[in-house]
Amino acid sequence: MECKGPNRPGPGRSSQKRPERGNHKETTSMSDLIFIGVIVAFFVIAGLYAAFCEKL
Amino acid sequence: MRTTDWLQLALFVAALALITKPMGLYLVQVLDAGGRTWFDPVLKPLERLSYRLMGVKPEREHNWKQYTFAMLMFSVVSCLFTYAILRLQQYLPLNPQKFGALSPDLAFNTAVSFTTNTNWQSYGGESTMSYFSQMVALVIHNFTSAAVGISLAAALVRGIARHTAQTIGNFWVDLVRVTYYLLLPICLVYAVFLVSQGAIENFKSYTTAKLLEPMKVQVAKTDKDGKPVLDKDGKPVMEEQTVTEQSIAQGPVASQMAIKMLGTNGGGFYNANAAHPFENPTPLSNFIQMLSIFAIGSGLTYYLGRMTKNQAHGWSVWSAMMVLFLAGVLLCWWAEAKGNPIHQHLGVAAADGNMEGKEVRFGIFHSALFATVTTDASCGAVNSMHDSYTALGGFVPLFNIQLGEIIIGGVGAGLYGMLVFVVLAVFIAGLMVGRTPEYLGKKIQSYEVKMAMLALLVLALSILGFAAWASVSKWGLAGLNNSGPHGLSEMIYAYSSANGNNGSAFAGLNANTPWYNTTIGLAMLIGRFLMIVPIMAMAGSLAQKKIVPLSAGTFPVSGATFVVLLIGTVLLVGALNFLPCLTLGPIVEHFQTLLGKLY
Repeated sequence: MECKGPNRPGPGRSSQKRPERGNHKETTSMSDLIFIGVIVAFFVIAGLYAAFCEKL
Repeated sequence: MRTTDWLQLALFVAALALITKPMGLYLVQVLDAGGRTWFDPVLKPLERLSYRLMGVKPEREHNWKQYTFAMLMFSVVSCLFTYAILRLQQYLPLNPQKFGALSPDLAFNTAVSFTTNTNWQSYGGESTMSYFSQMVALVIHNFTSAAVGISLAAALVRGIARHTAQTIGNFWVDLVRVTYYLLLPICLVYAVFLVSQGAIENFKSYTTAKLLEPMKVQVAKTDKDGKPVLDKDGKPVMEEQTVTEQSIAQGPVASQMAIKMLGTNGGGFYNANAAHPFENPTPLSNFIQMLSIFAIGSGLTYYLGRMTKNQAHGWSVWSAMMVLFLAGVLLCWWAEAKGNPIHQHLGVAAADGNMEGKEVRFGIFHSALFATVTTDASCGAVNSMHDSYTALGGFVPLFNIQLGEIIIGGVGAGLYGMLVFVVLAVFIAGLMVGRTPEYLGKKIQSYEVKMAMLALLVLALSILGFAAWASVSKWGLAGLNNSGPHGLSEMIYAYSSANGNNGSAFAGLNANTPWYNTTIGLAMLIGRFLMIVPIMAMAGSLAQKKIVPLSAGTFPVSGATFVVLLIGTVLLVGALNFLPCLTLGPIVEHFQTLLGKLY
């Protein structure tokens, strides 16, 4: 019989893999640019989607 | 299922019914630019100053496109603001634990999460966030994202209530008034109440306490860069550590808890969320937290009735929500109280039901009630671990989210989501009787139905698409801690929660990876904004229509027939979209459990 493992993370709300303090060492400006670009691009698409909805 | 628990359920429903009308009447004043409240002497000058600083002319209303673009502009700027704070955390004040910056993917996920009112947390608050980040980057969104949701619901209601109108309100006025007159005053009192119950509010460094008895724990092994070491299957390698000290986290908790619940945000100050005694100290705080999750959403149904001059319609929508709510509570509570069938097969007494992952302070009933409330609304705060629920118990939160969180729902989002179903229900009724569908005197035509379907289908497409990708990709499978149908449920829950802007999780999934952070971030954006846009288009279209006098052929939007039709529409759409994946997840897991197999 399989069981839910004893090493399951403790109670919590979202992803339970707690970030270690050392989780913050990637400070690549390229990654920042990509994620900022993704955010801006999404909202541009949402604006275009509004224009599409109007025409529909 | 004890008598005292039944009484507490009755008390909860009665208390909710009692606050619905006063909250609705207050919302009528708040959501009217010229409305009067008790706080006018203090807040009116602040409101005027805010408009002056923003360059807003409050008397100038927006059409649906202007309203939507203003909302999108506000959201993108505030999202980038939060991203910047999280990436620069180490240089900012109020950081006694000297936490460094979040990684770019985690900062993206978190900024999007709080902008969209989701509050999915791929981090543990006490081990990641400075007090500055909690108070400025995150709590501001807790207020504004809730205010945005309420504003959008009000805009849709105006679209329904007005006739031959071009405008549906001014986004900036709604945002400011909801924040100043509704959220801030209630949260001020609420935070003081939570402090009175034992929630903490300070800026102290964490307290270190020596353990009376050292304990051994399994932790993920990390390399010299602090990254987890993975085995050949991509799973974290664990190692044993002896712990002799405990770090007791501190912080400005109570002030965040108030808006977290009232604004149906749900993001905990601590990783354990509302199971943590500093966040949710007593049974009374637990009861009030659940009630506050529903308070504004419930009041908005009264607001709908008042604005459309059809109070019976508002109460009918509320009644449909309550029927679905009670069905969910009873199923979840029954499944958890019954306990794990394997225990019963083994002859183990399970008098207390399935207590795995639950706080002893709250027990079965208050855990099941909380889980149902938090997923009926788009709150996502938890006081127990949904992953540890029985298959049927866990099915309820998952299905609640997949229905669109329209059972009272998130503040504003619940009402505008439910009104999409109302439009659909009225359309179906029209088809059945062969007449042009009407809703409160407005003819429902192809444009409104197209917008309603776009709003509904984008959720299903995004949830199922991302979950399918996760279930076949190595990046998705690497995050699983459970196999079989339970593992699938964890992935489906993650993307349902993200798209539904809920934020709770089947916590067995390790989602703090670049792939999960990015895809869940995208799912949150899609679930929030690509649903809102067609709903606002529908609001604009409805506002322009004439009101047709009621006739014998008009389908009544109040009374038992309408309630049954609305519930049927909600369940039918939910079942059509999600029954196959639910069958492969919690339903098959339930039958496997009956055969003695756990995952």
